[in-house]
Amino acid sequence: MKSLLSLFIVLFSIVLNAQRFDFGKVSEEEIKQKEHPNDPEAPATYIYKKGKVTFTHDKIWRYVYEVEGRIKIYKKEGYEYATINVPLFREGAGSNEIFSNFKGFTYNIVDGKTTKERVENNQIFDIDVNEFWDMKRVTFPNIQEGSVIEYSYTITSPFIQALPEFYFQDQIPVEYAEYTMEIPEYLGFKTHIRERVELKRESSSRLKGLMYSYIPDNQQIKALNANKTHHASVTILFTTIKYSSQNAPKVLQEDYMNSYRNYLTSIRPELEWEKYSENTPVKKHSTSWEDIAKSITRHRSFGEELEKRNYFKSELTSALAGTSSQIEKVKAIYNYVNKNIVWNKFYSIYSNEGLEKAFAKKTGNVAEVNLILTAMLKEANLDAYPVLVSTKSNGIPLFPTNTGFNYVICAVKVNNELLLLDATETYASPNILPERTLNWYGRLIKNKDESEQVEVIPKSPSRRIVNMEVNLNEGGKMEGKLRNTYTDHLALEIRDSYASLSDEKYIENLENRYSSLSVSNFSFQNKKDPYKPLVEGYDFEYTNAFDQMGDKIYFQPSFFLISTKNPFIAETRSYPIDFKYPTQETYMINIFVPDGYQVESLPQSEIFELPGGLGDFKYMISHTDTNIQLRIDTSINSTLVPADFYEPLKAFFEAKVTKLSEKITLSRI
Amino acid sequence: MRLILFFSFIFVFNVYSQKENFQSLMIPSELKEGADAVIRLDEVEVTVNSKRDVRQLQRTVVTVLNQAGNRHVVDHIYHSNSVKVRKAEAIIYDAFGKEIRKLRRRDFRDRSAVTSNDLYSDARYLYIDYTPISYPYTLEISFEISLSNSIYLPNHYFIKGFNVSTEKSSYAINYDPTDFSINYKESLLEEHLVEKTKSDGNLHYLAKSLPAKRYEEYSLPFQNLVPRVQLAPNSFFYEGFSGEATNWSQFGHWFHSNLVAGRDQLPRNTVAEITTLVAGVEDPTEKAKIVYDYVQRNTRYISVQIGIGGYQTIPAAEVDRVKYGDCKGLTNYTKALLETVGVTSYYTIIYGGKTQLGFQEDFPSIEQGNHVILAIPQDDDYKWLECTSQTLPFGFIGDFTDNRNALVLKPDGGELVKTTAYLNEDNHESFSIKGALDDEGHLTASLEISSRGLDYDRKQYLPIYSNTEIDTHYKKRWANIRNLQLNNIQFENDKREVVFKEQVEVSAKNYASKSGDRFIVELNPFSKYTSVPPRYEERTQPIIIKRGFYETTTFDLKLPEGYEIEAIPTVLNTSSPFGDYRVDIQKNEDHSLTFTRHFLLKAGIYPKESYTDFREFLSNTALRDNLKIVLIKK
Repeated sequence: MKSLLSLFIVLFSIVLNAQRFDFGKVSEEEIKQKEHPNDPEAPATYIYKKGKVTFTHDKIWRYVYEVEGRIKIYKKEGYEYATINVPLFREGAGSNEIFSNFKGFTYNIVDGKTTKERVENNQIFDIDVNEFWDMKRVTFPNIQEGSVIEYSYTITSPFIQALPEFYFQDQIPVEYAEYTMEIPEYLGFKTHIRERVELKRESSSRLKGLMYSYIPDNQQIKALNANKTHHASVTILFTTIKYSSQNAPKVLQEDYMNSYRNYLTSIRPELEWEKYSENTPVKKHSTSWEDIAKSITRHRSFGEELEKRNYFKSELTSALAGTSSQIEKVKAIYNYVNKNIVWNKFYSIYSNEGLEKAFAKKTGNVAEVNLILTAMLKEANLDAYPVLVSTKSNGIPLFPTNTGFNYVICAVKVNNELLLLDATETYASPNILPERTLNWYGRLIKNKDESEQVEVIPKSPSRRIVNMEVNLNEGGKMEGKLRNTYTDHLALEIRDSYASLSDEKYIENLENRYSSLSVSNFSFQNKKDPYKPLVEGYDFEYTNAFDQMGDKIYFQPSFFLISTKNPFIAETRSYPIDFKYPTQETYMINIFVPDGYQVESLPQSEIFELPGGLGDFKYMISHTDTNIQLRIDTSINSTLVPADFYEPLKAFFEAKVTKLSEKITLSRI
Repeated sequence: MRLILFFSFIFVFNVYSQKENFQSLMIPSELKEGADAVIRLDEVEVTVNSKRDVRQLQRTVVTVLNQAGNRHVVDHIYHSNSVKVRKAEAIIYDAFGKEIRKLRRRDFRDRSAVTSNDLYSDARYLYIDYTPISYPYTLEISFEISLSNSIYLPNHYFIKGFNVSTEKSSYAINYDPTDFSINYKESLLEEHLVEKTKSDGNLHYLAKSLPAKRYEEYSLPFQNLVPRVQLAPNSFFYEGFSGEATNWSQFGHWFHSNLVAGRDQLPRNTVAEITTLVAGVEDPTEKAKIVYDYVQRNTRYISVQIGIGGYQTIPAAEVDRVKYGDCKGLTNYTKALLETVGVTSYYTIIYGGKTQLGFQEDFPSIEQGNHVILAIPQDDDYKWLECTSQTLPFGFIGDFTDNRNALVLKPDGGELVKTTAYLNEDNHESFSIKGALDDEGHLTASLEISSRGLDYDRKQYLPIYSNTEIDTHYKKRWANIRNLQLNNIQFENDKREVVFKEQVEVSAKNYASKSGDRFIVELNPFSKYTSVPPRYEERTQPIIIKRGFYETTTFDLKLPEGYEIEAIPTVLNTSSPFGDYRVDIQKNEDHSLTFTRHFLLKAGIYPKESYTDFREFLSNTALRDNLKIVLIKK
C-alpha cells in the first residue's frame, strides 16, 4: 500500500512537472517569484524553451519547426528578452522560410489576480533586412519586473540540409529545454551536439501516414496531364528523438574569449542521407570532414572555377617577368593578387559571380580572391591547393558540417615546405595570415578525392624587440632614443592600424597616448613591406619620467614602455584564454646615471615561469658607476590556454606588473 | 565682327569647361590639405511645386583620397512612405577620371533603415554596393526625390564634415511666391565667401574652394563651425494637416492642437488607480512625483517610428494598454495622468544628445528637435521629466537634454525655455578615504564616494550590473592600482536628494613600489585625473567647457610601523581661468597622514589663444595627481 502510494506520488509529480512546461500553464508562483533560486543576479530566465521539427512533402521536402517558450523577467535589464527577433532566410519565390501561427501572452499579477494579455497582430513587425533576410520582430505588452511571457510560432522551411540549430543555454539561465525531431524513414540526419550541460536522450518509433505530392516524370502521363500535381499517402516509420536539459546555467561573454556562443550547449542536425526504397540507391550527404571537403570541391563555384585559367594569362606572364626560383614566383603572384584584387569584406567558400568576373572587376569575396591566387599559382606550375578554414567568428568547427567552413586560403609547397597564403589582407604575407583565420585546423584540398588537415595557428613566435637609451635631466625630464622592431603578426597588426596613416598622424597618436612624450627624428622602416620586420625609431623627451625628492631620484626603469596593468582582472574564469599567436618580447634599456649621482638601490633580477612551459618572464638588471642595464623578456608560447591555467596565469601577470613597478633609487654623491 | 568672334570664343570655352573632369589629379593642393575626401560638386535644387509636392534634385561628386575618406562618400538615398525616390543613378571613376562602373536605379540595393534600437520604422535606403579597388576614386551620384510633406525643407551644409574639403557646392530653392513663402537662416556664409542671389521665389547659393576643417576637442558643435543655410516654410502641409510656422509660438500651437491634443483619454480603471494613489496628497509636486514613479514602474521605452510620419503621439490609452511607448507616447501618457490628478504639464520638444543643440530663437523649424520630454511649471520655473527613463529621479534630466532651448507646447502657443543646467560645483564627486599601509607595502582602504549632478547621472546605473561586472568596473576605473581586490561594495541611490553613494572596501597587494629599503607610495590613486587633451600645432577654434565639474578628496593613510617618512614632495597649487587645483599633505600625530585635494574645472568659453594654457592646466593636474611620498625602513 505504501509503495503504491509512493508510486502514485512519483507519477503525479512527473505529470505535474510535464505540465509545468506546457504552453498556457503559467502558475501564480512563477509570476510572484522575485529572483531566480539558483542565480539571484539573473535579470530573466527561460522557464522553458522547446523546439520541434517535423517534415512535410509537397513536391519538395520542408521542415516545420515549432518553437515555444516561457520567459520570466525579474529585473528591468531583462526587458530585452520581451522582444523576440526571428530571422527568416529567403532565396526567392518558393524557397523562402515562412513564419506563422504566432501566439504570445504577457502574464502579470494585478491586485492579487493573474492577468493575461495577448500580443496583437500590430505588435508583430516585419523588417525587410536585405535581399537575403527578412525578420519578424515581436514585442510583448505590459512588461514589468516580475512579468512572465509566453510565445509560440512556426517556421516552415525548404532548407532541410541543415535543421535549425537549437541552444539549450543562453545569457540567462534555462530551467528546462527540449528539442524534438520526428524524422521519416526516408531521411537520415547526423546530429552535432556541443554538450556542456548534460542532455537526456529519448527515442521512439511508430508507423504513420505521410501525405505527399509529386509531379510524375513518366513521359506518357506527362503528355496527358501536363505537369499536374498528384497526391498520395504512404505509411512509413517515423523516429522521434528528444533531447532535454534541466537547469542550464547562463553563459556570459568574457574578455579574451571568442564568441560566447561557441560555449553554449547546442544541437545542430545535418542531413546525412536520403533513401526512398530498397531498390533506389542511398543518396549520401556529407558526414565527415573528408566528405565535406569533397562536396565543396565538386561544387560548381569552387572546383570548376579553379580549372578556368584563360582570363589571367597575360597578367600572369607579366607578373612572373624576371622571376626564376619557385619562391620568387610565389611572391610575385601573391603580391599581384594582393594588390590587384581587393577583398569586398564578404566571407564565403564559394565564388559569387565567378573568378573571371571578379578578376575583371578587381574585387571579390574571400573565395574569389584566394581561388584566383590558387589558380594562378597552379598555372605557373606550382604545387598550390585551396585550404578551407573556419574563421574565429564562425566558431571552432568541432563537427563536420557544411557550415563548418566559411573561408578559403591557399597553400603552396615550395622546397617541401608548406606556405599558407591569404591575399585578402594588404599587409599579410606567406605564412603570416590575418588573425581571423588563426582558428583550429584547415582542410587542404589535394584533389577531388583527397584532403588533409593542416595547422593554421603559427608555431613560431612573433617578436618585439625594443632598444632604449635614456639620460635623466633636471626637473623630472628625460631624453632618449628608442628603436622598436616588430616581426610577423605583431608587425601585421601595427601595419593594419597605422600603415595608411602619415608619419605626422602616427606621431600625433603616439604623443597623445603618452601625454608627456614628445617625439623627434621619427622614422619608420619597412612600413609597407610585409616581408621585412617593421622598425620604428625616434628620439624623445619625456617629462614626469622620475620623481626627485630631497637628494634622491626614484624611477621605474621601464618608464612608459611597458604597461603595469594586469590584463586579467576577473577573479575566476570558465573559458579558454585566447592569445591569438605566440609572442616574444624583449626590452633592452640602458640608463645613464646622471653626474653627481650614484645607484643607491636596484630591484633584484628575477625569473618567473608559467606551468607547462606556457611562458616565462625574465628581469635582469645590473649597473656600473655610469650605467644601469636592464633586459626584460616575456614569452607566451601557447595560443589557446585552458581555463584551468587561469589562476597561475593571473598570478604570473600579477608578479610581472609588481616587478615592473619596482623602482630604482639614485642618491647624490 | 571681331566682337562676335570674341564672344563665340568665350562660348566655346565655357562649354568646354562645363564638361567636367573628375580626374583626382586635378584637385588643387589646398583642398587636399588635411582632407580624406573632396566634395568636387554638391548641387542641390529644391523645387516647391505645392505644399504637397516638394522635389529635390541632387548631384554630388566626391573624390575619396584614402580609406578614411570612404565615410564622406554620398552613396545612400533615404526614403520612406512620404519620401519617394524618382530617379537615381551613379558613376564611379578611377583616379584618371575614367569611368569604372555605371549604376542605374535597379543596380542600387534597397535596405531597411531599422536599427537595433528601433522596434519598427518605415525608413529605408537605397545604396551603392561598391568596394573601392584603389585610391583615389570618385563617386558621382544623381537623384531626384519627392516629398509629400513640406513641414521640413532640406538644409544645406557647404562643408559636410571634418577632414573633407569642398570644391564647389550650390543650393537653390524655387517656389511660387504667391502660394508659398520661406523663412531661412544663413550661418557663416560671408566668412566663407558664399555667393548668394535672391529673387522673388528663388534663392541661390554658391560656395567654392572651402578647405577641410579639422576636429578639435573642447570646441563648438560641428553645426556651428561650418557655413550652412537652414530653411523652413512659413506655412506647410503635413500628413493631412495644414500649418503655419512664422514663429515658435504659432508653430507650437499648431503642433499641439494637431498632433498632441485630444490623445490623452485614459481608461476608467487607470484613472481610478492613479486617483487612489494620490489620495490625501495636496502638494502638486508631491502628486507629480507619485505619477512619475507610477509611469517609471509600469512602462518601458521602445522606439516605434510609426504613426504619422513620426511626429504624432500614440494615444495615452494605447500606451496604458501595452505599457510601452516611445518618447512621444510615454510623455503624452505621463501628461494625461498628471492632468487626471489636477497637475498641469506641457509636452516639450527638444534636441536630445550630449551636444547641447538648443532651438534657435530666430528660426522656428521642426528638424531642430528629435526628442520629447515633459515640463511641469513650478513657480517661475519648470521641472523637467524624462519619461523614457525607468530610473532617473524626479526632475533630473542628466546630460541628454540639459541646458538648451526646448519648445514647450502650451495650449495657447509654443514657448522656448532653457532646460536645467548642471554646471561646475553641481557636478560634485567627493571621496572620503581611510586607508592603511602595512610593512609589506600592502594597502587596505575603505572609501565613501558621493556623486551629484552629472556624476550622479554617470553612476546611477551601477546597481543594475551583476557582481562580476561591478567588480570589473572598479578594476577598470582604478586600473592604475596593481593587484586591486574589491572586498565589499554597497550602493545607496538617494533619489530625493539626487546623490549616489558608493561604499567600497579595497585591498591591493604590493601597492607601494619597492626600492631597496624604501617604499614609494602614491597618495591619489582613486581620483586621478588622466585625460589631457591633444596638442594642436595651431588651435583654430575657441575652447568650450560645456559643463565643468568639481572633485574633492580626503585620504587618511596610516603608515606602517617600522617605516618613517623620508621625503614628502612640495606641493604646487594652481588657480587659472579654467579652474583650481589644490592639494595638501598633513602629517598627523598617530603615524598617519592626511592628503586632501580639490579640483574644479569651470564651464565657459575661452579664446583659442589660451589653448596652450588650458592644456597645460590639465596636464599639470594629471602630473600632480601622481604625487608620491617615500618611506624608509627605520
